[in-house]
Amino acid sequence: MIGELWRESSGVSSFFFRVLFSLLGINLATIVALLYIAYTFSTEALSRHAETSIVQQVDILSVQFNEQYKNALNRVARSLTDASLLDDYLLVSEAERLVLARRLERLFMQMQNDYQDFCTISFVDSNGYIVVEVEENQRQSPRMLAGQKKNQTEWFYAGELFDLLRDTPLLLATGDNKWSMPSRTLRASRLFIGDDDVPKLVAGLGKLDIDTGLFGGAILIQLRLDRWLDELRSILFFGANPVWVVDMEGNTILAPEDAKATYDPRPHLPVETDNGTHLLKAEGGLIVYRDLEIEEGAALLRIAVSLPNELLLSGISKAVDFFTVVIDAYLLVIVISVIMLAIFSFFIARFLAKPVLKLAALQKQLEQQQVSLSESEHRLQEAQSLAGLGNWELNPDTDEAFWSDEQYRLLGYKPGEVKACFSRFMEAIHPDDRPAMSSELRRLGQSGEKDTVSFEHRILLPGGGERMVAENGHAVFDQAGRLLRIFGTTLDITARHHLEQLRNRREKGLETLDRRMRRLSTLLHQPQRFYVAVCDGIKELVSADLSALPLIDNSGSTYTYVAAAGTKSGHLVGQTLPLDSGLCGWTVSHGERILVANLKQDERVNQSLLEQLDVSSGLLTPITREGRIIGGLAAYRKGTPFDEIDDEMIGLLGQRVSAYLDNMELMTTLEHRVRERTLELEAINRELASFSYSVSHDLRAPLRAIDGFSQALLEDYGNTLDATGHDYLFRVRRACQRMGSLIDDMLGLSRLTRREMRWERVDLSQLAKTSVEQLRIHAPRESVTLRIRDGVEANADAKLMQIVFDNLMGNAWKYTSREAISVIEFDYLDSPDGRTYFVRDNGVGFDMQYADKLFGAFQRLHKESEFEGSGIGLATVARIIHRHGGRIWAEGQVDKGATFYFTLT
Amino acid sequence: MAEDKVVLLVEDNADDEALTLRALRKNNIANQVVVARDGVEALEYLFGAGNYAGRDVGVQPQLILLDLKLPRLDGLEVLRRLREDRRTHRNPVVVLTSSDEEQDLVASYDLGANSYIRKPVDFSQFLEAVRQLGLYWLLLNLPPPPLGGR
Repeated sequence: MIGELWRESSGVSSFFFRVLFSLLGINLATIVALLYIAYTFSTEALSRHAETSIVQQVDILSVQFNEQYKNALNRVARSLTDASLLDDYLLVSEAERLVLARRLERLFMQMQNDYQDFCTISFVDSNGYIVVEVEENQRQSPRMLAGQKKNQTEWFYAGELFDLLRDTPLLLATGDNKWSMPSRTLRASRLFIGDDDVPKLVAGLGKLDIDTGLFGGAILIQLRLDRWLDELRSILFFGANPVWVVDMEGNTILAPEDAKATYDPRPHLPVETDNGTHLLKAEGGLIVYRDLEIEEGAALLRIAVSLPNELLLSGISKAVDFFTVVIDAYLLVIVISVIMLAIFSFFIARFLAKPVLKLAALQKQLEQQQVSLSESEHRLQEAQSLAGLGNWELNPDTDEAFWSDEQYRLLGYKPGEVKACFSRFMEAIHPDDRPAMSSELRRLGQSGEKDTVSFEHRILLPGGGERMVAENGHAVFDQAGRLLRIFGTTLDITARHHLEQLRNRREKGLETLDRRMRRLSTLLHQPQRFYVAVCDGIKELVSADLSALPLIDNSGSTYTYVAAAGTKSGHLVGQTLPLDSGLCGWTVSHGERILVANLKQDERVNQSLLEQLDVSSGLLTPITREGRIIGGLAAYRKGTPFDEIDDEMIGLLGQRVSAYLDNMELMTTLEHRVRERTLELEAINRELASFSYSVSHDLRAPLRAIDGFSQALLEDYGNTLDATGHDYLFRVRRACQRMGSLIDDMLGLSRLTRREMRWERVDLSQLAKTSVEQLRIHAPRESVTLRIRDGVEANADAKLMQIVFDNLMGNAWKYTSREAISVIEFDYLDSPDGRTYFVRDNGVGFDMQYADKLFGAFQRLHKESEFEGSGIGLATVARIIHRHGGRIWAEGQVDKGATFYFTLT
Repeated sequence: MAEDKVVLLVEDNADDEALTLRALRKNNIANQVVVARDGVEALEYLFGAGNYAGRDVGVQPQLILLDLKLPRLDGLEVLRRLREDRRTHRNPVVVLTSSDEEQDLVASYDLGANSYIRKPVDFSQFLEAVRQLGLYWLLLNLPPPPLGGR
């Protein structure tokens, strides 16, 4: 928006900026005044702020102290007393202790590296013997704690602490021979000045000898505080260092060195100790203090910041501090108000400058409009000519009219060639369309009925020819409802109209083609009728007066019209002509489609034949069989010549007829093959039938004889045979009977294959239940739980499916006979591939590696002595399922049951 | 009386013949058993022709045990012929065969067999079958009256 303003003439913009800047000036002055007021009221707030910040600083110092020393001592002391190395040390023999002591030493050194202020770390055993000691990263030789020569003060306090730790019980009896470990507390000595003039303290933790349950020694750590004190010396408040540290006896550990900052807090500090940070306002200044501790609950020393009033006041009045505080507090408010004021100023300035800006803009717009108007007129004319769109206006009261240049051209005139008038417009309209045009215009003229019309009509051009246009008219009425004028557009749609007509014809043609081809497909086995039907098809497809189908003769040098349809078709049918004669001859010998608009003028045409046929235009296409040209399709018409659509249609017909001819060959061969194959199959079936018939008779007869005579032998001569002889005869008989039943099973299986399928809706659940009923009768069992889903139906052969269920349920029944509780289930699963039925049991199951043997005839996975059966059942089932077009498979695991899945078509 | 009640056994297999006769004997069926070893012989007996020329065809066997698979003329043809002839069309005929093919069953009953029994392989079962057969057809069942009997 600003950019826009810059571009305005300079007079207008300077006006705007003058207004803007004066407003901004006023606003800034207001802000400065507000800031001054804020300053006046802020001194008190500042002193409060200073107090708070000192308290916070002291809090921070105490937190740092706790973290750096109290917590760190606790952590280190605990981790060292808990170290398994130490337990090991206490457990092992004297000799081994030496090694462990070295390792402890290394651990101590590591700790000292991490915590530089822990100047000595040592382990003193229960006898007060310093076993391991590391001082400032130096290993110290073991010795007794008592009687130290070096650093006497340090060792005095260490000894005192050691005694204290030794006397603190590490285990507490809770009666009944039970013990508890009280929580261990880090103990610390008081602050003292070491022999090296460094303020120090000793802290330590007792170690339980877990073997004896007695005091096993102590970890002692010396802490030096000089570095901490140095840090405190560097802390500044208002440019000075007013930090004091005193111990609980009132001894000064640290006092400010700067005389300006010295304000002795000691007389004002209370005797009682506690945990908090406290603020004291005494007469001479401000004191903030806090007690610090190493041992829990035992205050060790006090840190105090004590500011004399002079320092405090001078600090507050310092400009730097002032701005830091004020800007901290008011920065957001200031920024927001400056922004708001700037925006406010901008809008005020804009509001004031608006009328002036508007006038200038209007003038400029006017100039631009004049230029663009003439440009757009020109563009309109170009566009109209490109689009073939003309526009017009009529005055209904007079004959007067206006036509655009393109309108003239649409009506077949040059622009301005004639006077534009309504009557001439009406004359140009095709006589058939005029009444419709008049009535549309009348309706348009009637106020209130319709004010826009659109319709299509033809225009007769003065030089001959037609044009199709789409008319859009719009009427304008005055307030009284009287028609003032009509205006509208005329769009040239000749090309579109033509395309539409072509498309319609094409669509209709394809439809006809499809219909005709369907009819032809039924006639493939009757060539003569097929050819006649093709000729009828040509006639309808391209609106021919005459159609014909010439085929090349076997000799390859002549062709014969095998069929024709339409007027004068009699002249063609049966005619044989040499290949180099006539248009048909040309097409079939060149293999090209041709369209001849005027047959009389084409030299390829057999003119004598043409005279008899009385046609003027021809359309021909070759037809092929297996890629070889065998003839053609011909269409003739009198009057309007064929066009490109006709050409396309006959081309398509030619291709599809050719495809059919290929099929004709194929179909004849196929039919023949099917007949042959059927005869073969029938013969095989007959053979199979007679084979099983003789098996049934002839194989059984000898068996019966063997069995019968063995029996006779037993009965009649049994007394002369010994036990072995009897046994042999029994075996003979048993084998006979077994073979008899095998033959029966085999016959049954082969019969299944030959039996005709009777498809019907079958209730599989019912079949499963029927099988179970039979089983209950023939092989009664208790405790069989059946889970048969109800109402499972399928299209199948009921009798065959009953056999399937008899076998599957029978198997399940048989193989669960050893289970305490048998569960037999029939259900199905649905998947996108269809329904899978299954029969599941919890019986002896089978090994999956034999799964492929399950369905073979006479294959058994169990010994006959375990479970009887011929091994034909599942083969039968598989055969039946296959006859249903289904699949069968099984899943199982030894002793975990089996599931038989099958599908049906 | 028992001699009057002839059983005609049509059986080409000598073993089966022996077994059937044994089974009849074992079951104490004492009727006279005439054995025809093929279809032609069976018809000759029934119609008093050939070897049996001069037999009184007014007396017909009380039971015909007919095997289906026979040399020269098979059992079904025998059955058809004897049903066609008014002298024999009422004779009780029990088809006794190895076959249990449906087509044989259907054809036998279509041609008027009175019963159809499949010979079991197990001789004990066969014995039992013959026992029941004899009991029923020779004792319980009332035969058609002899021709010209009334």
